[in-house]
Amino acid sequence: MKNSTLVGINEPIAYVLENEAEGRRALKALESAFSTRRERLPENDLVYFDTFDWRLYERGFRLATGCRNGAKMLKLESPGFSLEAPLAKKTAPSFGPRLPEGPLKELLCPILELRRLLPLMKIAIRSHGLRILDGEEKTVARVHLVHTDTAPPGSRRAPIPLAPRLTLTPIRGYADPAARVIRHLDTEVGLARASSSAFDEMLASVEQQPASYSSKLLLPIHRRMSAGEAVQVICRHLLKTMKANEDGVRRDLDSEFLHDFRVAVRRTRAALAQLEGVFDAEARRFFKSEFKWLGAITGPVRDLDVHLLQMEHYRAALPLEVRRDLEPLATYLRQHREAERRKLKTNLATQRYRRLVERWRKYLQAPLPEPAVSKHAHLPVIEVASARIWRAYRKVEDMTAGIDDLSPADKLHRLRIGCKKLRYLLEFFHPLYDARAVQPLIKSLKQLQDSLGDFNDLEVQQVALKRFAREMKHEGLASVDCLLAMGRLQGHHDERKTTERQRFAQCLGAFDAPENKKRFARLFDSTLGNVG
Amino acid sequence: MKVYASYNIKGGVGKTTAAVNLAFLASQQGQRTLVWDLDPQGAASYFFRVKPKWKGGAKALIRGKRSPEPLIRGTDFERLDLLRAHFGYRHMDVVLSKLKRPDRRLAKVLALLKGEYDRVFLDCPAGITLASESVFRAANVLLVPTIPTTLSLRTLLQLLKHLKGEGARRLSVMPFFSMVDRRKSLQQRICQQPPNGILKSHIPYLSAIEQMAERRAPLPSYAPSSPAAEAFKALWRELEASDTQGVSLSRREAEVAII
Repeated sequence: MKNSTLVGINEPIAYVLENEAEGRRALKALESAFSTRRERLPENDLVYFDTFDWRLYERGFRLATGCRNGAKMLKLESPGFSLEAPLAKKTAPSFGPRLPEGPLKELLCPILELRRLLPLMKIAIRSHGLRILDGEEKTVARVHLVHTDTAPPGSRRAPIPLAPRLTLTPIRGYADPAARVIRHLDTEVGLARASSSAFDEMLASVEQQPASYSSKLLLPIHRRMSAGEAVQVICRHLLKTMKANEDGVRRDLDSEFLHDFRVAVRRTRAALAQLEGVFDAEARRFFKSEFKWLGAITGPVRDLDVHLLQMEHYRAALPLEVRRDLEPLATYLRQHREAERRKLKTNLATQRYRRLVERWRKYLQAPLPEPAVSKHAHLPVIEVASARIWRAYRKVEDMTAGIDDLSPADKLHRLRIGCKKLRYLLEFFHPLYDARAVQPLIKSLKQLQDSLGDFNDLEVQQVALKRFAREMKHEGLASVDCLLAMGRLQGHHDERKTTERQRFAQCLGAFDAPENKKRFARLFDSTLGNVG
Repeated sequence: MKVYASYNIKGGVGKTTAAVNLAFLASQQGQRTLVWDLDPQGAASYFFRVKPKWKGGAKALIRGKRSPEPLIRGTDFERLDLLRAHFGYRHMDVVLSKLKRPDRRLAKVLALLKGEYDRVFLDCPAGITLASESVFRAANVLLVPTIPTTLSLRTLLQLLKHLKGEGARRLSVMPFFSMVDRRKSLQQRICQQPPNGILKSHIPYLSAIEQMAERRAPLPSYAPSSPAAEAFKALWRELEASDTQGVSLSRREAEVAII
C-alpha cells in the first residue's frame, strides 16, 4: 500500500486555507486532474456535548446533536468510527440511561457513569466540494471546502468564523486514489496541512480548554519547597476544585459536582487538621470551623444522593414481586433531597460562604506566616510530610493491632477514619517520593479503606433506613408494603455485612503484611535517617 | 450484529433490490451496515458501482483463512459498506463440500467482522445448495421475497418445510410479497390480506425499481419519497418492529399452506 496510514481510517485530511479563493483554486485544480462531480452539502448546525470532566474528549470521542432530513440525530464520532441514534425533538442528551436505546447508548453508558452531558459549543458548518470518481463513476474520495462558525452554548453573541479548511475524506477500500489526491494537493497545488484538528480549533475559539478539569489530585510540588509553600499549592488546588464545581452544584447538573466539591472540602479540612504546625494558629481555628460548617451544609444532599443512587441496588436486593413496594421510599428521598437542595443553594449564596472563600484565597496567596506563629511552615516539606505520614501510619497500625473480623462496628469506624487521614496525606505528598515505592502502599491502603467503607456504608444505610421509615410514617408516605420491603432490605444488609467483614479480614492481612510495614518505615520513618 | 439474508430458491424475485434498499435504510438510521454480495453475478456490487473481484482469494475467504477486510469497499453512502462479490463464489459449493461443518463457514467469516457492523445484509444467489445451508446458519433473519402466485407460494412452503426439517429454530423467517403486479387481481387479493406467516408490507412491481440498474444507487437515496421508496421504508419499519422470535416455523408453514 502506498499510503498505509490511510487504510481504513476515514478521518479527513485537512488543509488550512488563507482564504476562500485559495480553496476554490484547489478545487479547480482537482477538477482538471481527476474525474469529479460537484456537490454541496446542506448547512449543518451541531451542538457538541461532553461531561464536565471531559470523558468523551479524553477517549477521542465527539458527540453532537444535529438534524438530518428534518429529524434530530445524536452522532458519536471518533477516527474511523461513527454511530448515530435518533433523538426526540426538543430534547438534549443528558444522562447515559436516558439516551435513546441502541449501540450508542451501550457504548456511552459505562463511560458517562453518573455524569451529565453538557453543551460545549454550537457549530454551523457550510461545505461544498467535489466527489472524486473512478471509471464506474463510483465515489472514491470527497474533497470539501468547509466554513465553520462557532458560538458558546446559549450565547446570543455573533458567531465566530474560523479559517476555511479544505478536507479530504477517504473512503474505505480506496486508499490509492485518496493518496493520489493528497499528492496532488501537497505538491501541485501546494497547500499546507492543518496542524491542529478542526475540533480543537473550534474549542479554542469558544475558550474551552479540553481536559481542563479532573477530580484527581495532580499537584506540582517538589522536595525543594518549604512545607508552607507546598501546603499553599495543595490548598489552592483544592480551592480551585471547589470553585470549579460550585456552579454545577448550584444548578444541580449532576450528583458528581457536589461529590467532588465535598471531597475538596474534606481534603482541605484534613490539611488543616493534620498539618497544624504549617498554619498560623488563629487563622487555622477560623478556617477549621468554617470548613466544618461547609462540610455540614453540603452533607444532607449528598447523603440523599447516595441513597437515590443506591435505589437500583435496593430494588435488585429484593424479590421481583416486592420491588415496586419501594416506590414510596424513592418518592420520600426525592422530596427530601429537593428540600435540602434548596437549603444548600441558599447557604451557598450567603455572605458567610463568600467570605470564607475570599479569606481562604487571600490567606493562600499571602506570604508564609512568621516562624514564631507557625513553627513548621519554613521547614523543608519532605520533613513535615514524612513526619506526619509516619505519625498517621503509626496510629493506624496501633488500631489494627487489636482488630479482627469480629470487632465491633465502632472500632472499625475509628480505623476507617484513621485510614482516611493517612490516605489524604499520602495523596497530598506522593509526588515527593518515588512513585514505585509509594503506589503499592496507596493501593493496599485503598483496598483496606474500600472494604471498611463498604462495611460502614451498610451500617450507615441501616441506620438511615430506620430513620427514613419513621419519618415516612410521620409524613404519611409509608405503606405497610413499603415498610415490609424496607425491613427485608435491612436483613439483606445484615447478610452483606457478614461477607464484607470477611473481605475486610483479607485486606487487613495484606495491609498488615511485614513487607508493607517495612515499606512504610523505609519511606517515612525519620529515625532511620532516610528523610531529606 | 444482526444478520439479514435476502434469499429465495427462485431467482428474479427482487432479492438484490431488497437487500440493497433495506441496507441503505438501515444505514440512514445510524446503523453501521454491510452488504455482502454472495452472488457471483455481483448484482448488488453493480448497484454500488463496485466491480466484482475476478480472481484469487475466494477459497481462502470461505475457508476462513483470510480476512474479508481487503474485499470491503465503502459505498457512496455514510455507514454503508459492501463486501464485494467474487466470481469465485460460483464454486462455493465445491469448496464447502470439502470442509468440515460446511454449514458454519459463513458464520465464521462474519464473526471476524463482529463489532464493526450493527447490521449485515447477505444478498444470496438463488437455489438451495450447501451455500444456502451456510446462509441459514449465519443469518438471524431470513427475508424471503415472494411473488404472490401459486407456484411461488408452493416453493415458499417447500422452503419452510425444509427449514423445519433442518431444525433451524434460531432463524426467524420473514417472507414478504415482492414484485406485486397491480393489474393482476389475484395478486392484489392475496396481498390485501396476507396470511399470518407473511409480512404485511409488500413491494409492488414498479418500473422505478427496475430503473435502479440504470441509476446504480439505492432507490431511497435518489427518490426518497417515491412510492417505491415508501414501500421499502414500510417493509423496513415492519421488520424493525417485528419480534425476531416471530411466529413459529410450523405455524407459519400452516398459515401459508392455507392459501
